[in-house]
Amino acid sequence: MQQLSNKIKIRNRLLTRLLLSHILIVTIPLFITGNVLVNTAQNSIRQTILDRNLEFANRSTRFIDLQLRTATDLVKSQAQFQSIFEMNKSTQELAINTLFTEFDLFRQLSVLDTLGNLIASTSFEDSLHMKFGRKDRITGILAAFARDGRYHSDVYVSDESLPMLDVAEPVTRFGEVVGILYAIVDLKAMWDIVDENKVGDRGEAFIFNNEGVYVAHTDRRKLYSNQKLVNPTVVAQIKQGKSGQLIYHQSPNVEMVAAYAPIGNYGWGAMLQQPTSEAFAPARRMRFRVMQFMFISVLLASLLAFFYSRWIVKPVKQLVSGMEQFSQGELNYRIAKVTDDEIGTLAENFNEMAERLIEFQNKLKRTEVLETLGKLASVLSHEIRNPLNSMVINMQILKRELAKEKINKERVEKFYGILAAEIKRVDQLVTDVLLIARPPQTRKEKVAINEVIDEITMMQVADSLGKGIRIEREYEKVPILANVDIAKIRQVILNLTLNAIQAMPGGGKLTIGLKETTTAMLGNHRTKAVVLSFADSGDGISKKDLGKVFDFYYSTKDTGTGLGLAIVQQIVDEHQGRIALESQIEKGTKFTIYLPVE
Amino acid sequence: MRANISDSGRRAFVLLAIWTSIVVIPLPSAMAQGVREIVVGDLVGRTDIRDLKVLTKQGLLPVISAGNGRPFTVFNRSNNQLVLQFHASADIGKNNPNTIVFKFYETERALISALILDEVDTAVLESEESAREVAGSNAHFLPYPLPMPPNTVKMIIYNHRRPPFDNPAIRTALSYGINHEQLIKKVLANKASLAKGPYDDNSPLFASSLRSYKYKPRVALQHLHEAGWTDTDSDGIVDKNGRPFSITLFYPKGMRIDEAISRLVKINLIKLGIDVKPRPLSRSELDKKLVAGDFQAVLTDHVFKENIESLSAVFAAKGEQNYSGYASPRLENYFRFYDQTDDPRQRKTLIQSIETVVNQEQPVTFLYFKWLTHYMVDVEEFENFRHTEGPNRGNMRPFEEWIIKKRVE
Repeated sequence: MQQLSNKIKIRNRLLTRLLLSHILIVTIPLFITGNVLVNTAQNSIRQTILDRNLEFANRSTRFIDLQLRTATDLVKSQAQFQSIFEMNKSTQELAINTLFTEFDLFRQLSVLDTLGNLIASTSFEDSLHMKFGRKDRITGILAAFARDGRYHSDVYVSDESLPMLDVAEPVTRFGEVVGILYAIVDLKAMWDIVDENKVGDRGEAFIFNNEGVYVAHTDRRKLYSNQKLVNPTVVAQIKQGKSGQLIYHQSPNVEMVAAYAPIGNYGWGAMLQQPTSEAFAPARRMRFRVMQFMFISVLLASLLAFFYSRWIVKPVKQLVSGMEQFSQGELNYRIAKVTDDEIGTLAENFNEMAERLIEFQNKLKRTEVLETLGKLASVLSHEIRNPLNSMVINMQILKRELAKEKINKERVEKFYGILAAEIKRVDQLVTDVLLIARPPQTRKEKVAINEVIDEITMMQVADSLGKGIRIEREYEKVPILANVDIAKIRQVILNLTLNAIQAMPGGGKLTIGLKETTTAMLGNHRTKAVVLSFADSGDGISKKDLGKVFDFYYSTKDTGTGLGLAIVQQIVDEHQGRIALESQIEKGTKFTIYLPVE
Repeated sequence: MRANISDSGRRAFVLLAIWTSIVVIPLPSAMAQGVREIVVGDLVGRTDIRDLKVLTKQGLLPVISAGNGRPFTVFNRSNNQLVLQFHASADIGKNNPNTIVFKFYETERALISALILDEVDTAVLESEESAREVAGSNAHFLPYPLPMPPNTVKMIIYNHRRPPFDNPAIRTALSYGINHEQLIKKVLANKASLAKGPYDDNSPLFASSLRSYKYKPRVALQHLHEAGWTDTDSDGIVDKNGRPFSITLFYPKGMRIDEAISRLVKINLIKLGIDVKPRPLSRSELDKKLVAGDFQAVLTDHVFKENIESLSAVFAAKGEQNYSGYASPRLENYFRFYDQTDDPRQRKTLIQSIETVVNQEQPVTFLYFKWLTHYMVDVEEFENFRHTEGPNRGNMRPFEEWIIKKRVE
């Protein structure tokens, strides 16, 4: 019973269950909340990237529109101002160079006639005349004037990898186009726009033209090496004026989250992209933090739950421990009241129950004592009265015989012998009773049990053979030692031998076994023990009598006192041993005694 | 005679020499260990490949024209590239460069592009803006500010052999007609100081009495008119004897700052009725023009050392760097007096007197002293490329002291 609580599997223990329930109560809401938070953060980041990119595209559109409008307005106002064609060359050069210097917008400004001849230019290169000498170019510009009133080219990338845009305004006189004010607009400021929109350390922002060629990129190397956006889907979408977002692999190991949007009606696109590993790093950090928080919470909750559960379980354990103590015979053990709850009430009830049980036991003991006394009185009166009667009768016969003149000596000796035997019988009875009622103190010593058996059987062998009983000893002739009181063990062996002989009135076989074992269950533990067995081939004991054979004064024999096996039981108990009994009707009975070696 | 590099572009060459300096260390197995090259970017407008000099511990060593005794040979040369290879016997460490490739670019933007595309390991950039652009676009590069040598002055040299530049009134008009403050503010973002003469005001030789040629277009016009230049035909350009006043101003090709200065000079002088035609030329073309006296005006840098020789080289009638043909009897006297006295105080006074005469006669128009330039280095590939202590702190180390992080096999 002491081991009962220890035998409960950990998972079945109350403490474990309470602990788990506490942890689950803490963890599940945290887990759900954490996941919701992380998912919300991820969605928020995606949306932010998309929003930021749309804003980026809008800003780029606004910027390019502004650059274009500013450049056009400046060129237009310059073209119309006092008609630049009416100025002398130096004034023309002053005007366009001042415009060039004052506005950090132009890469070049030139005044041309309608044949493409260069009148004045901000360029100091002598080779400039060649550029404008192409007739098709001038024709195209003049056609645009006729059609739209102005001209501007697509954005292109110059030899120096700079984004450029050509703008031309007609110079008119009396409503007729007499010249062209031609400006190359430097859109390098777009680079600043993309730089401002770069996200993270590894993010990229770029603007590409309708062929996918980068015109602005946070990674200048891609501009200077004239790279293109290799994603036909995005380029096609941009051409259709559509925006969107995607996650794609830029290289086998780099996954990008990207968002793109068209820039105005120019057919260009703006795109922001960032490695997912970096873009979603905040979400991952948040997840990590949540995990950390969960871990710490679970740890704290576990600790709290452990102490709290232990606090709850402690009185229960006290209750269980008390019951175990009680069950082991400590009837005076009482459970201290530690709580005022149901468990405290249970402890009180248990203590009350224990009180009642003791009362009941005492009552039972008194009844048993009275019963025993009655039985003892009955047995003693019977066992003593019989020899006394026999003694009285034989003493009367002896008196008559001694009164005869001629005394028959043989008869006198016979009756005298009977008297002596009866007295001895009474004496043995008193000795046995005393042995049970007031057993002598046990003095243990190392004893070779096999030698004790040999000694006893040697004394009984003649008598048993006379009764047709053969005694067999089944054990090795080597000393089998045990720490016992030799006198008492001698008594046990003698009693069981005599009991077996008496159980075979018609003869038979008594087999005495002796061995040593390491696995005998004595008390609450397994131990090394000496095992003695006495197996007779008598009639056996009925099942209903099996439980009584060790009772005081229980005997099925007319001449028995009913104390022999009770004495055996008592001596074995004194040695912390154990006695087992097996019996089968008409086959025999076997007593097995386990005595601890130490 | 070809123009000495220090005449018209000494500053550029000195700079180049600082960061391209190579110390000769005989190393037996340099070549056996393979080519370990460093690619230096430069501009054709800044450096003439034929006049390239490399500073070693022995001094500035010309790359092309010098004689024997150099630790390197020119392995390969074209119009825009020159490869120096150290002799096999040179003692070059296994992690130091043994080959230097100089690449020359037409424009600063092309050089920036080469830096960003990792085609060049190091280069000097004039403006902080360009340096920032490279560093922002290519994380391999870091910009390091490089203080200009003292008295590095930007100036316009006029050819006194050709009228009207022989007339001090015209030169004075030109100096008054150029808005120095505007170009310092607009082009150099105020990172320069106004120049009154060859020495800046930190120099012990600086003459505090020098006249400041601040922008005074009216005074300039007055000088022009006094010299007989007026706009008789109302074409906006002053003329004299039927000849319009037109100046061809040569400036170093591909140098953004020089182009911007030329443009402002053009704008300023057009307002006076002077037609300025800026024309970019490579350093070699510029040097040729200077030596041949085939020019009207040249925009260039010059470093004036704080000694009489440096002044006389430029301003003495027979000065070896006097490409303008300027000759002043007063100055000649001062140069002579200087040679005749040993008194330091008198000598200082004489130098300051020379400064005063130059200031009054304006043989050149002094524009400004620039403070800083910037050199870029691929710090992913090189280390130990600059002095971190001592008198040369901040300056580049000789190339043989550079250490290649990633060994080139």
